[in-house]
Amino acid sequence: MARGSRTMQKLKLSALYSFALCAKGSTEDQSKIGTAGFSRVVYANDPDRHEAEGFRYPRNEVSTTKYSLVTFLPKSLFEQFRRVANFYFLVSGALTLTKLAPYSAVSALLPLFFVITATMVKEGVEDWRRKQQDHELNNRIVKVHRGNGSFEETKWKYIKIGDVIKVEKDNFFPADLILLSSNYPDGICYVETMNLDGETNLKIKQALEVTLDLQEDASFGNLKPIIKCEDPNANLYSFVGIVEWKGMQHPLSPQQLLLRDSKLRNTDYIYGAVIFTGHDTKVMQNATEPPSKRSKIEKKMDKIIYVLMFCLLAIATLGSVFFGIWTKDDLKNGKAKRWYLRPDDSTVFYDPKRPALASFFHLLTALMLYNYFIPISLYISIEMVKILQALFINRDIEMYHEESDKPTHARTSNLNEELGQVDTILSDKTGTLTCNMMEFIKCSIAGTAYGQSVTEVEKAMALRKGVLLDDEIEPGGHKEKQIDESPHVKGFSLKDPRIMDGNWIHEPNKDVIRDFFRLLAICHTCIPEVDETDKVSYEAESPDEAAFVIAARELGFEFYKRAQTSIVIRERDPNQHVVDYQYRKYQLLNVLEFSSSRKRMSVIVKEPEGKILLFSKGADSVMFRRLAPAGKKFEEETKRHINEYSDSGLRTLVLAYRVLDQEEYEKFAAKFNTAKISGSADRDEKIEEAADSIEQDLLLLGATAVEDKLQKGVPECIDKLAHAGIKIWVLTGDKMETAINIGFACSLLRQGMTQIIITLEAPDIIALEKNGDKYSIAKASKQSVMDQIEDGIKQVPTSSQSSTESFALIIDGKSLTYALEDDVKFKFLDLALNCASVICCRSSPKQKALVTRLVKHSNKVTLAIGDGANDVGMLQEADIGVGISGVEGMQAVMASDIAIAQFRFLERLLLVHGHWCYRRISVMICYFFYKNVTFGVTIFLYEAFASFSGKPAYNDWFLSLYNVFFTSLPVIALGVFDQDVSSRLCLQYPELYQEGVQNVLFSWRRILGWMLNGVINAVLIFFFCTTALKDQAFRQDGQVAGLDALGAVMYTCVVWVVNCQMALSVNYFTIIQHIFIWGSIAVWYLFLLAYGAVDPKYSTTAYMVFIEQLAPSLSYWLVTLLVVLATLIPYFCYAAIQIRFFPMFHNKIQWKRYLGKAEDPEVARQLSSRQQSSSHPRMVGISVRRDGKAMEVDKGN
Amino acid sequence: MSQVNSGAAGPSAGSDVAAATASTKRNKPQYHAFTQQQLPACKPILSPHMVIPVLAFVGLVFIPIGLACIAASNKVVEVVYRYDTKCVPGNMLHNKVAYIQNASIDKTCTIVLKVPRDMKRPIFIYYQLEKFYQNHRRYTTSRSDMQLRDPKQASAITEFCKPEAYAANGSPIVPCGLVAWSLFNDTYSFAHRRGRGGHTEALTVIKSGISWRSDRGHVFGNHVFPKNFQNSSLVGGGQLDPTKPVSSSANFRAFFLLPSSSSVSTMMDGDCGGVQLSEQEDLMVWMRTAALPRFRLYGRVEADLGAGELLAVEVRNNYNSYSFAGKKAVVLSTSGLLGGRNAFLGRAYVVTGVACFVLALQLTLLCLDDFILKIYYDKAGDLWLSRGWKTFFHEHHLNAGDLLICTFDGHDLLTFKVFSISHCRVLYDTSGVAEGGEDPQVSGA
Repeated sequence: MARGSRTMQKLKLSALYSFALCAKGSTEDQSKIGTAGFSRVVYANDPDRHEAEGFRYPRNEVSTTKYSLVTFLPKSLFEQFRRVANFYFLVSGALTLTKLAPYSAVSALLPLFFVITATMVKEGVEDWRRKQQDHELNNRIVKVHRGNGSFEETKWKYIKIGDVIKVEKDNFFPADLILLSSNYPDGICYVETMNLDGETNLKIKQALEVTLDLQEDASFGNLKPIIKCEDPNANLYSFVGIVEWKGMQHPLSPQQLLLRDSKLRNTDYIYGAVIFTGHDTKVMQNATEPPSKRSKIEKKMDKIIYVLMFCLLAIATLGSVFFGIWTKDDLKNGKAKRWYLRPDDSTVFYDPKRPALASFFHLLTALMLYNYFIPISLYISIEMVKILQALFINRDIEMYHEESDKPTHARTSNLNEELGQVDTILSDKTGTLTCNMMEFIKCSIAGTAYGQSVTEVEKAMALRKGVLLDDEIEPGGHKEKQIDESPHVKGFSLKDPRIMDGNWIHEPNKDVIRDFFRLLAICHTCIPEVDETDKVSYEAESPDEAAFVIAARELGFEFYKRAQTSIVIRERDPNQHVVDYQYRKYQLLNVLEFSSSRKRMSVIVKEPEGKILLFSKGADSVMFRRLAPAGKKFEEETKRHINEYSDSGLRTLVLAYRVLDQEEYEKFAAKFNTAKISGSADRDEKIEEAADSIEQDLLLLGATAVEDKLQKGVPECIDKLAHAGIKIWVLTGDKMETAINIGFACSLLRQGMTQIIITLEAPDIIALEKNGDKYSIAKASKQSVMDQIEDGIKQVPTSSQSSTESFALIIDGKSLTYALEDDVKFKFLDLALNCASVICCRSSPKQKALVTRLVKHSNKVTLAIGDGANDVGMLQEADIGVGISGVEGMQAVMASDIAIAQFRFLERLLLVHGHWCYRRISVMICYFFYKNVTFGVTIFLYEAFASFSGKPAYNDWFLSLYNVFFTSLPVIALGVFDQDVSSRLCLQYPELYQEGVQNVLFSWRRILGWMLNGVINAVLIFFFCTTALKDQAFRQDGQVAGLDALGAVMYTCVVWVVNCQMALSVNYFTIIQHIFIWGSIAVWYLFLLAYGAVDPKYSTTAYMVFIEQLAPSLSYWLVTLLVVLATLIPYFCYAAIQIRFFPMFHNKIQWKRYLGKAEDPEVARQLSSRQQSSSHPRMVGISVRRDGKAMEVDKGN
Repeated sequence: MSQVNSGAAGPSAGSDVAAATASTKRNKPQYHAFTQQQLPACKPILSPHMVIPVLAFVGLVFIPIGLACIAASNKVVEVVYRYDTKCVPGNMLHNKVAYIQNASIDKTCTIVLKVPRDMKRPIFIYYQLEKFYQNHRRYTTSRSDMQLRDPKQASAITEFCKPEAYAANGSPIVPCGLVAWSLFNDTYSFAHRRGRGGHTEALTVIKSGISWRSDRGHVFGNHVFPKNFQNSSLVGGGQLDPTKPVSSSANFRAFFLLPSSSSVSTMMDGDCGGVQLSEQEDLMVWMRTAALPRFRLYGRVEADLGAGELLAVEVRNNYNSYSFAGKKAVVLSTSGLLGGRNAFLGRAYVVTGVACFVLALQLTLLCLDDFILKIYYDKAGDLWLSRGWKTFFHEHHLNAGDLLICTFDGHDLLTFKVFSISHCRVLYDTSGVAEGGEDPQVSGA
């Protein structure tokens, strides 16, 4: 173990490595061991002892399924019948088993059974898939210690608490482990936690010193350490425990904890002791069901069902009252009136002596009879439709991102139609609007600005001012410029011959430049990876850092190797043209980590020459204060450059350094280490204080500017969304200036807009902050925010007044804190809603979620879009959460309802799919109610002619199959396939989207209109049929139409009418619609034939009714023709008049399309502008581009 | 130290990218017209230009159909005679129920009908009952179809048959239930007198073929014989015919010529008494319950009747419709293509057809005249606005001094920009203004 012992010496230094990576667990925490919540005892390497000691720990087999074989039936049934409508059908189904039933029990229960089974099969299949996944996981193989130092391959599910296991490179950890040792002598290992938190960067874990030397299988022979730790909990970032090792107790921290489902990387193998298994593991404890969201339309649908139920109850009661009266009338003074009903010898259901009871029972019967008002298949149909819609969204080739190979993924299909009603989009900036791929684009070194590239913001600004930049020679602005002679390096687009290719050596202040880039190469937390060709790539926690390291590399200061205690950089000698490397090894003494409060990070290193240096980089606000007087040489220029950079939408950092003498460093190191070791509550503060004391008197080197590139197509997309009347709020953590500039770049803001800025950066508040107490600061701040909001409200005219001016609201995080307080927030909301664009800068994740909640108060549909962990709250709070499956991992995607690869896909997702889905679902639901009302009312009307006795007009099976066979498929086809206008036109006329936002297609007026149509249709059908076939023979043979014939005639008419009505409502007649609509009608006739041919025992009144009675009768066919056309003509004319005189926007587009002019941009402009001026005069953010376009058009004219 | 990370060359970002491009794009959706929702489709618009022709066409088709239906209906000769009060002797009018329930009174009553027009054979005879709720749920369910069909199932009595399920001795009633029990039992026999003072001649009423063939063939069993029918203390309606109806013309003659005897009989007591159910067409017709409280078929006369002929109908008024104040009538009707006489269908067709025409016309007028500006070129080639101008003027609240800039695209789009006296452009809230308002469609250019 020569290698091992050699590195052992270095280990003393590794303790200094970084305070952030070190244990946070204090002795205070450790003292909790053994108390409640910290009771777990693990006999490592002795798994069988737990049973003996009476500890019961779960097995490592996990199951994420909702149901098991046993619980599937009861549990899924329970789920089903929690729905009001289904429960109603269950109750009425149960009642059909009694004598009360107006029809046979089988005919009523079978459709219910069918519907429930279909839903359960769907559930079952989904659960089966989960089971398959679990099975795959549970049967993975890992090596487990089986005594005497021999390891044996075992399936994951057989792993027990206390097992010592060996995990090899690129494998997942099967359970939560305590890291004992790794192939590295210092016991570190690299872990990728993508499955847990979505972060792709590697994290370093480190074993306790005492267990380091267990580096071989054989060393585990007789080892019996005892681990005591906290009970299973969901907190990923904390862990408290101790290990008893050879009589000594050593504290454990998250640093030793390897979590299940994370992956071992860059490390050959590790040994670990299992402490949590199966469902106890942190990742499983974290697995919570995402909040289930329901769309507004579905909520409204429930209301409609209640309304219908109320109507149903009303007419049932009405019927029962009449029934009661008539029944009572049947027997007077012992004289039977309708003697043929034998009222003198009756059952309780028809007893004239007890009419109240009879009419109560009748009420139950009637409720069963009229349950056709409520479409039994509605839920399942909607579910099927939504699944298919989601499939279309997932399969849309235009929402597939080629580069990342990611299609759009609708993770829930519940919200499809909600996508068509979005009123406000709350967007994250970084990674959402921008790529989160940082490009090192400019820098200012020693007061000289380097870098000549033009940023997108600058382009936008130039466009605004009407100046054409030299850079932009081609008119096709946003196309990727052709690649220069040298291949583009990702993350680096600095272009300046003065410092590139080693030319910096000729600059006047070359020493500063060298230090500048050395700092960039050293002061970070990246990990390099060297491949076979000696090329280095980096794993970084944030893309900014990667950009810095890459920039340093490109300029010849290549960060080459990181070890525990050292950093190697490879410098290219600028003087020689031959590539000649010079390795410089810096001893890494301390890393003072970045935190949002510190806003800077520093490293302390020892140069090869022996000098101790402190390198520091940070935000301008904190860095300039820390400069030594001597270091302020370039302060003025640098400040000016920084302002320019942030005007151009760049992120800036100030770089500075300092030389420490040995003595000073040692003093610091002592202070720092005591702070680190101390277990007191203010440990962090002490560390910060220590760091603060050393980060003083810095010498300024310069500043960097990194561009966060706008994602492709973002401005155009925002433009379209703005056209569609969707308000876009940007919630960002960035500085106000950056945010405003990005706002301009992505055409959220434009020059003519009045900006209302709410900020607490006012001088009086700042002054107060310096010396006031907390209470008075808060009070003054709040007052200031209130005043600013009031001012804003005064500026912005209310929506009733018309004005062509548009407003943008910009608010910073501090003000937002006060603006979100209960007594202010509605005023704030009021103001914000009247502004076209809203930008909240410097906002925390919590604030993002709060703002989302606030916007939801306005009862509008909100959509939140984001890509990072900090957006999760916002995504879950919003009505729809859209995650960008981009660079920052999967966390946002996991919390989202729909995942897209790029912001620009939002345009298609909302304007096309959202619009379609909204339209489809709302028309579909309306139609569903229509067809059932039509059917139900004919039954009710017939009742009135059957003395409300509860005799259905139709055969039992006609009744029950109505919703299942003869009318359901066309509706589903409508729900899946209908399009009012094509996707291209949807995008060309974004104003169309307002139909969804204003919910015109699912307003009560429209719903009731459809129902009224149903009632009218039913009345026409009933009276036409009964009058036409009333008294006389209905065929040449002289027979009259009995109940069986009349029922079949009426039913035929109903099937025709509802299906033809569907045909009239369809906008997009594909072959599928034809098959379903005409097929449904054909199926009815086929059914009539087939069912009529069955033995009369089963077919009862339908026996031969078609072939013998109806088909040969001319009247039957004539009545059908008459009734169908006469019934549909009112709607037909209504549609024509509506389209001609009160067209909705989609009608107008359809009309233009019909004329072949829809594609004409001039027509589009006219239609749109009229639509816009009528609907939302000022609410819409009209963007730069649009103005530009308008000007172009004007010129063209 | 260089070996520390030497084993750490995991897949770097670069090789990841390479791998992704090398392997085919696994997640890329395949193009298919179906999944991309681009199936070829027809996209109908229900605008007036489509609705008007359809309406006109429907009108065009419907009116002739309607007229044909009316003609067909008018061809049918129908004679209705209500006899329920006429056939009660004057002294019993105050208590018709007592009259009908008194078995000792002879209930024969003769009516003379005049044939209004020539009636060609076959002439169908119907009885018409009103306010009789055959569609009452208790009534319709009170039967056992099993029993009717299968001789072995005589005791397959549903509980709904009660109280007409079992005879006093406990043996099942066949056919059971209220429907059969309340069988209509008025009888009619006819004699006609050819011309004035001509001799009377009895008409044969044929009672076969009045039911549905399926009833005869399957629903009512061939070997099922009535049992205990109408045998209880309370007699509901008619008995079943002891003889085959088709050969019963002699019987009818007897009814007509002889004073009738009320002893149709109790000979069905026995097990196999009477005729099997599959021949009891009266019962079959009756058991096909009516949809609405009305009407039933009685029989058929295969004879032609001339206009003005007198027809003597001897009614045996047995059936009690008096307790529920139901009307009874006897109906004679010929049959046409559409069945009996009912002008409704024809009229409905005509009315609908006319309505279609009217609607089509109305729509046409609305669309022509309302908001469309007419533009024409005069001989000098100048452009003139004519019709619709006034409407346009009012709709847009134009005032003297307003400036209008009109752009005409040469086809049908005329665009206006309106500037008021203050040189400001006037913007309209067009939500309330119809489509044609701001950029009127122009025809006749």
